[in-house]
This record gives sequence, structure tokens and C-alpha cells, in this order.
Amino acid sequence: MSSVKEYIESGILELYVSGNLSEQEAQQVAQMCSQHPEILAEVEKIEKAYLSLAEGLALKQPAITKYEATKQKLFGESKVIPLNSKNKWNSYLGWAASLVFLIGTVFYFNQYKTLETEIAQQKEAAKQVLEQNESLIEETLFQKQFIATVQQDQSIKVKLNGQEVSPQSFANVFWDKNTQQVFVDVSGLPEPPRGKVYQVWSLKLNPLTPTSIGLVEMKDGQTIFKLDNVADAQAFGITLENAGGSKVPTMEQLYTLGVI
Amino acid sequence: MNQDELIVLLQDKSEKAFGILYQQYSRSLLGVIQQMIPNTDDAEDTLQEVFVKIWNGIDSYHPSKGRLYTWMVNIARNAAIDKLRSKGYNNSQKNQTADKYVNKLEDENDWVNKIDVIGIQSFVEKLPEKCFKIIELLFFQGYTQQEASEELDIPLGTIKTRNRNCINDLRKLLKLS
Repeated sequence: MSSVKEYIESGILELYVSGNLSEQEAQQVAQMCSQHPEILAEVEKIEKAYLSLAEGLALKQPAITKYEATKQKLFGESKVIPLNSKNKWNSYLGWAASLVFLIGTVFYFNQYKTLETEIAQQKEAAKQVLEQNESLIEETLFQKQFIATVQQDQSIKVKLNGQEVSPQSFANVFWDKNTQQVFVDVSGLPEPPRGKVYQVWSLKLNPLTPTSIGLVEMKDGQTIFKLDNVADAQAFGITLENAGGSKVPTMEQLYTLGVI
Repeated sequence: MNQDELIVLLQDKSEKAFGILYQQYSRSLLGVIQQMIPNTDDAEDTLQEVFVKIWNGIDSYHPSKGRLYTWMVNIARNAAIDKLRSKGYNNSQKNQTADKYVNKLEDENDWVNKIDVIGIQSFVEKLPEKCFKIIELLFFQGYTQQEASEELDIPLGTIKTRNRNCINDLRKLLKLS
């Protein structure tokens, strides 16, 4: 502990953040950060200090036009929902409507209403595309995390075997002890009956202490789920519970269990 | 989204992640650039070049080599130096005075984060010349410890601890201790 403190106070972390270390020294500090959360926390504060100082010394906020120009350069045409010909027709209608306004306001208002509806529809469509993008990002991230967890040296795979209530069932838990991330593959479990969900538990033995680490709702064919982080466990189990989960596992409904 | 997740998304070339990156770091990187390039237009042009370099080079970055911010600051410093050379500037920004910093701060009204800035302002005002110089050289100008020790005429062994003490003062004012 005291050596960590000495390390922090040596001043090497400041030089690490300000970029004044050799490649090799920087790699060593990066490694220390991944091993000692208190060193990482210190580095993050030092970084925030430098970041704030430089922000404060900027003469102004970067111009938004520059941001747009940079994006344009990197991504080409800014991503807009493609306007189909119908929309062009609508803008034409808009002009026509303005003309008609001179003749009769009633007709104009009708057109105006149509345009308003169209705009609302387009906004809705745009929102949906954005939401799809977000969920794609989430999905990619999820997959990357899962692969990273499975590949980690410190990762372990725990096979959960079927128990009395369902001997054919099985599941696999992947646990990266380093990052504490846990994933479960439940493709070996039957579809839960209506109104029921599977609940995953991390268990410590002697005395038996179950901790809920997440509910698994099998829908859209998803079989791999990320669970709460686990720092310490000796076994994992899955029980069938009422929707919403339970505080303590219903042991009569223990589907699978695996000891590490 | 934490930094590791952001890096993963950037390396996946997510446009959204780029937006987040820009939002989080553009002002700070502009600040770094402006320590070397006072002309706002040139500084902002350089900022654009820096983000293009960050985007194109993100695959060569890995957290095991150092902090993302450090990597980006390094790109910003180098791009600023390139810009100075191409524009034929006389790079004589190395002897800034505290007065200049204070003036800059007083001119500025639209701070993003007022509390931080009040902290920085009072820090800069109270900052001993020696602190100010060491941060300027090591962080903003990217001097090595050796170069800074020669420039400031202090022993090499003193650089590290003096720098640490100065950053500690800054952190206290920013409530980051």
C-alpha cells in the first residue's frame, strides 16, 4: 500500500498525463493504472486538472461551424434522412399553397395541415433511424465486451448443469475476474412459462449466500446476457422466478448450478 | 459511456462517438493549440487538422500506451508546431508571463464551466512564476524533463516534484484533490 502512495507522490503520474515520459515508462504507468484502481483514480484527477486548465486558457469555445466542417471532411455529406421525391412534391405543394392563400385562406389552411402532418411523420421517421443507430451501437459494444470477456486470460467459464427440476438444462457463465464482468449463455434453458423469468445468482458457500446478479428475459432469440459485475463468487445458479425476480432464490425451482 | 467504451466505438468509426469526443475535448485541445498559435483563425484551422489526425490515427492508439487525452494533446502540440513552421511564425511563445494568462481569462466571458474557471483564474493569479513556467514548458510546449531543467536552470531531479506540487495546487482550487 505504502509503495502505491510513494508511487503516486513521486510525480510520475503528472508527467504521464502531460506526455513527458518515454514510451516504455508510459507503458509501465498504464500497467500500474490497470492494476491499482487508486492510481487510475489519481491519474483521472490529474488529467481533469490539465484538461480544465487548457479549457480555461482557450480564448473561446471552438466555433460550431468548424465542428460541422470537420465532420463534413470526415464523413462527407452530413447524414440526413434521404428526402424522397414525395417530399419535394410537398415543398412544391407548400409554394402552391402560399399562392392559393391569396385566393382562399381555407384551402391554404388545409394544405398547411397536410404539410404539418408530413413534417411530423418525417420527424418520427428520423427519430426511429436515430434509435436504430443507438441500438446498433449498443449491440456492437455488447458483442465486443462479450468477446473481450471470453478471451481474457483471467476469464473463467463455468458450466451450469441441470438440476432435479430440469435435468436436461444447462447454461454457461463467463466471468472475467479482472474486470469483474459476467455474461451468461442460456441457450440450454427451456423457454420460461408465461409470467416467469430466469434469475441468475452468484453464490458464496459456507454459509450459502446468494446474490442476485440479474434477470434473464429470453426474447427475440437473445441467449447471451450481460449481468451485474461480480467481485467474488464460488458458484453460479439459475432459478425460475415470478416476473420481476425474487429477493431470495426459490430453491425448488433451481434449474442449473455450477461450482467454480 | 466510459473512456474504454468511447475508444472501442471510435475504433469502430462511430460518427456518434466522434461527436462525443469532440464535445469532451475540443475546447481543451484548442487551449493547448492557442498557447502556441495566438491567431484564432489559424488555431481553429489547426484544431480541425488535429481532429482529422485523431480520427485517422485512432487505430494506432491503444490504452496500454497511455491516456487518450495525452495522445491527443501530443497530436495537437505537433500540429501547432507544423502550423507555425508553415506560416513562418517566429516561435517565441516560450516566455509567456502570468499577466498574459490573466488577461486572457478576464477577456473571456462565456466559460463553459464557471466554477472551474473561477478556480483557474484565482490559481493563475496566485500561481508562483516557477509553477506557471514549469506547467507551460512540460505540458503546453511538450519539453522533455531534461530540456525543462536546462531552460529553467534547475536540477533535473527537482522537475518532477515541483511539477507535482504545482499540479496539486491547481487540483485543490479545482476541488480535484
